[in-house]
Amino acid sequence: MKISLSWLKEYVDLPQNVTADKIAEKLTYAGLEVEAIEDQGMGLDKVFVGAVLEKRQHPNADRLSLTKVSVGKALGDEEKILHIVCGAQNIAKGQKVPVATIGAVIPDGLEIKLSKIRDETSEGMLCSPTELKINHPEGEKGIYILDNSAETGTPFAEYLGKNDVVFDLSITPDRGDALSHIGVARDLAALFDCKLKIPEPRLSEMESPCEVSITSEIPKHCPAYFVRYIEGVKVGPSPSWLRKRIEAIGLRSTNNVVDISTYVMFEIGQPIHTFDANTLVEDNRIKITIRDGKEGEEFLTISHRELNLNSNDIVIAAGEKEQITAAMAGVMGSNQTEVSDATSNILIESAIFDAARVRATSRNYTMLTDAAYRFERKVDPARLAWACDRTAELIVKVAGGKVGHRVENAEAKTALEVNTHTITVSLREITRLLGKAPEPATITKLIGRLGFGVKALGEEGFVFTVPTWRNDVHVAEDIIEEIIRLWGFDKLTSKLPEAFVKNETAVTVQERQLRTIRKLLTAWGFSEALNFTFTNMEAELLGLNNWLKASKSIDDEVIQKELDKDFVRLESPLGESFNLLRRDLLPGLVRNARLNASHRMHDIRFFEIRPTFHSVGPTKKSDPRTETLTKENLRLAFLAGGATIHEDWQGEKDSIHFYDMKGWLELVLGAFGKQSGVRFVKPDKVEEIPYHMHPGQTALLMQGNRPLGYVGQVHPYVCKQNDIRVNLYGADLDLNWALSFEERKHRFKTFGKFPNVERDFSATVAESISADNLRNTIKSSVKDLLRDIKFFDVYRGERIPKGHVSYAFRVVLGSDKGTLADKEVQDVQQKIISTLQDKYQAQFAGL
Amino acid sequence: MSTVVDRLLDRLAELKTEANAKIQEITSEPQVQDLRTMYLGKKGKVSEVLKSLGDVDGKDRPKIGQEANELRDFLESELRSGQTRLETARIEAEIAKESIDITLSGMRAPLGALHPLMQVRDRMIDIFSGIGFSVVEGPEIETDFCNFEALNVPADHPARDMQDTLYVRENIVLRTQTSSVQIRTMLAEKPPIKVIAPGAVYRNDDVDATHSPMFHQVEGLYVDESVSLEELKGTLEYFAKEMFGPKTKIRLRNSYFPFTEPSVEVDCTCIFCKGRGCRICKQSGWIEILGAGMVHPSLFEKVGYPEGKYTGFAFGMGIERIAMLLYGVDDIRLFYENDIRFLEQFR
Ligand SMILES: [Zn+2]
Repeated sequence: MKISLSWLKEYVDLPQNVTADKIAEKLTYAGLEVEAIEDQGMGLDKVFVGAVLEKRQHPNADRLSLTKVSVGKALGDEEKILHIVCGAQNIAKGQKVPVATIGAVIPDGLEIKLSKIRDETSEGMLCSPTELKINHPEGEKGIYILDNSAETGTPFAEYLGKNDVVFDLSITPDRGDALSHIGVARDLAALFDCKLKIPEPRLSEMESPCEVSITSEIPKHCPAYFVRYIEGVKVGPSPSWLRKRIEAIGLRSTNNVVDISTYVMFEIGQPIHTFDANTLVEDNRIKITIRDGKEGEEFLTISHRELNLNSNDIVIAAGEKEQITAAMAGVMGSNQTEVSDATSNILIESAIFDAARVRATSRNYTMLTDAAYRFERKVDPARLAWACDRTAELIVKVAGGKVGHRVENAEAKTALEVNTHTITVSLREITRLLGKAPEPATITKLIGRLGFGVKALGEEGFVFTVPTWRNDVHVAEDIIEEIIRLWGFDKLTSKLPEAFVKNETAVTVQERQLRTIRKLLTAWGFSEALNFTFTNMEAELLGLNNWLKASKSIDDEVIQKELDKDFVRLESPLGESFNLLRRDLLPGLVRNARLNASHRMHDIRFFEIRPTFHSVGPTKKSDPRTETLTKENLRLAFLAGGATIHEDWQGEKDSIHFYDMKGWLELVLGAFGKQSGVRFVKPDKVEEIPYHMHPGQTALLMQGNRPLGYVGQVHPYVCKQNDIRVNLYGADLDLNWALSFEERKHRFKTFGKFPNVERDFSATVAESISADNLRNTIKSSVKDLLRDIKFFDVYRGERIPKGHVSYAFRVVLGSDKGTLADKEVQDVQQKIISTLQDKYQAQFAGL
Repeated sequence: MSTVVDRLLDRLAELKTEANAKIQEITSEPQVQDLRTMYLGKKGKVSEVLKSLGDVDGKDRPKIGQEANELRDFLESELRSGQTRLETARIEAEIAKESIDITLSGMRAPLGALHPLMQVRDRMIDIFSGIGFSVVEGPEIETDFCNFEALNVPADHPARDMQDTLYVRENIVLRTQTSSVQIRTMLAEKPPIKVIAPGAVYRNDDVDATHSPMFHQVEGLYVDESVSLEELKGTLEYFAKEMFGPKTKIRLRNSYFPFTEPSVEVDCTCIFCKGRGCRICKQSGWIEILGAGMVHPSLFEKVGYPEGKYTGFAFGMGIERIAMLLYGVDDIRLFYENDIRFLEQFR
């Protein structure tokens, strides 16, 4: 909201020497934030109206002239005549011109200095409209020739009428009272400890020739409605003082009547509407009814929009049968009843409408008018009649006419009898909340200046009476805010809270574990990604659907069913591209890989730790205050593809493969607390594998029947579809589960006292037998003496029968009781061999 | 008889000269072993001399034995140094051939970067946990109660204009502010409470250089029997100095949030011009970093705390905003594109 300084000064006697910057600073600290200061006279400082006394040819330059120019007493007590060299051709003795004196920095940025031009001194500059950044019809080439009536020595800004400063204020929604010049002036009066002056309207009334009656059918939503009839106004352009005010606050002048209603709204904050009274009259009577809108009621706005109203809109209707829809209350008038150049009689409206209903209407038709804005933030009930009278006074002043009596609805008087609201605040409360308090006398003065009633009770504190315009003040804390914002936050001493620390929360512990994981992943080359929570089906499918359909490897419906399962949908989406919330992290990382591939970055490693979102049914003991019927599950996903080492000039680069990924996932798991029964499972059915993963190169991480995540190659179709040239590998882990274990504790274990014995085996088995099969069988047959089993080679090929695989592994044996005897080792060795022979028909090399 | 002794001693001296000459001339490592066998072996030349020891008088035998041992020691030592000489010569030659171009780059396994927003978040957690704040979290899908109603923002409140909300369905929203965690924390616990709540929040904004429909905040809440605005000021000043440097100052301006009273906006010394005034701070020397205030008493009522028993402060700040200031990032979209060229700058 724009506020003019010269307009403000009509209501408050600010200290003489106070600058616009100081005012802005004070207002900003006190909560009326000044976002910008527009100094209309910017660059016109030290530019004055000058009179050309003499003009002659420059002795050394054909195109220059020497002038003597008087700037009157602008620069001191004596008249000053300046010698100025000028290059323009359009000046002559006797003209009035703008003179930039030494030290001026004119709007085009030029700084005026004492100079010598071809041996002749120049003590200033005569300016063109262009140099002063003024639009002037004739003004491109020569000096700006001013009105001859202009007084020599007048500051040029004053000559232009551009001597105002305009503040652009950002008013918080609680401060409806500050949406006007008087409202801002009131805060300034308190901040600078000076007097507030509110004009009293003076009117000479006459018996109205036209009978006016007001009925509010909805006194709850329109408790008070005041009007005055004015006969015989002359609608026309506004006088210059009015136009200047209206333009200073960034609006366009319409006509004198409409400008006055705008003026009064920005003066006191009460929206004012004016009707062309002739459009409301029937049989020399005006009957106004305030009622609910009718469903579908047609309405043409002043701005020529055709609307169909509904019952939530409040309508100002006129006529015996309420047939004239004169206005959407609090928002906008109708085209039909608008004041025009032909208008001679008018009706002024000053009323209160329900904030919520005005807000709904204004939102519904997206008509965010200045009036609606103020009704939404509530107007001062005590100023309705004043605003009505003030408008009438000023309209008569600028447009003539005779004013009828003020008329209102029957309920208005009782409705406006406001119960004065008082708040008691003790000094102890003030000190408790702020840390310290100003002197009682200071409190009385500061709050008193704002228009509150203040009664000091000594030690007990104060009783404050809240003025009618401060509908935001209800409790002691509100008063304490008023005290501190006026007294100044800089009066407070910075204190650190007492150093109490509660036991750390579960999240603090988790946070610590997550940092370990994040550091590990970055050390392995993964960068931390952050993707939007919103997504859509297309993005989640990664373009897979068409490929899968074409290959018939999986039914489209299967994917669809999977995707439909528990997505959380947005009711008010950010467009169709953002209508779902993620329930899987990996597709987002694949999209990141695609973006980077498009910049030819093919070696990719990303991880992301974010919740996934799932719809769930109601729980038994749900508290409606906190129940959302959704579940958020913190997950880790990581994705890698391309070379294992990026900066490598030594030839062949290895590419990341499944076992790199699995290794990283295993190390991540190891960083959490101890879990038991966790295993990697290769599912039998392809449907059990996430749709975007390779069916033969994906392992599910399970604990019992509970899926905890997966690791594997991203489906090759995904890379093909997304122009990614490397094989991508991905992993996903349920962190809610991983973080549910007690934090990992390190505990030192002494090294074995007796040396271990290692034995290597090479066993050929059918291809269906996995390394895990062998490992588990050995584990259960050897038990106590087994320290470790390490696989060090896997062979498939010509040297062994088809459909077979040969595993080479090392078994480490040891005991805490003593060095193993040869016999013991041989027994174990024999047991391993015979067990694997029996169970898997294993063939051992060298046997 | 002395002639036998003399003859043997002469023979040993002769061997010494002869062997030493040969040792000094060796050029390859096998020769060392050959010479060792020839002179010091069981059938070597020194042993041969000692075979005649039986002819020597008993009292002279130790003398001869001693001489022979000295000769053995001498030759062994010379053989060893000969061997070392050969070895070093060989290694030196190898080293001379092994010189490399050290200007080629090191073999670097890739190094990832933590996301800049997460780095700022981590830093904030560290700063506040240093003065006793624990971390709590709340859900990103929230009820209208926790996100609005309990925070004093009823349905027709003008403050709802300040934040366009994304709805999951009626009364369920994507939280518009981490302040909702204040409510959940107070519903779950009794004071003293001293927590921060970092997390993602959402607004119905179109994406541009300064707006994102998803962004991050850190909320702080301290409630006890007598918490004051001066402590809020002290806490935020501590934070600003830790985050932006020890010379940073803060100023409090009155503002409005429905859930705090008094409410303030907090500016800190512009980090670009150190307060002298520049384009970024619009010549003011100050940059707005967060909103804060004293917890509104109606929040205590909503969560069922006894009237008048507690006071508290709360604050909330945008992680993106602070990251943009700290790192000079001029487009918020960069944080969500995950372009490696962007992320790797924060390694
Ligand atoms: Zn600056």
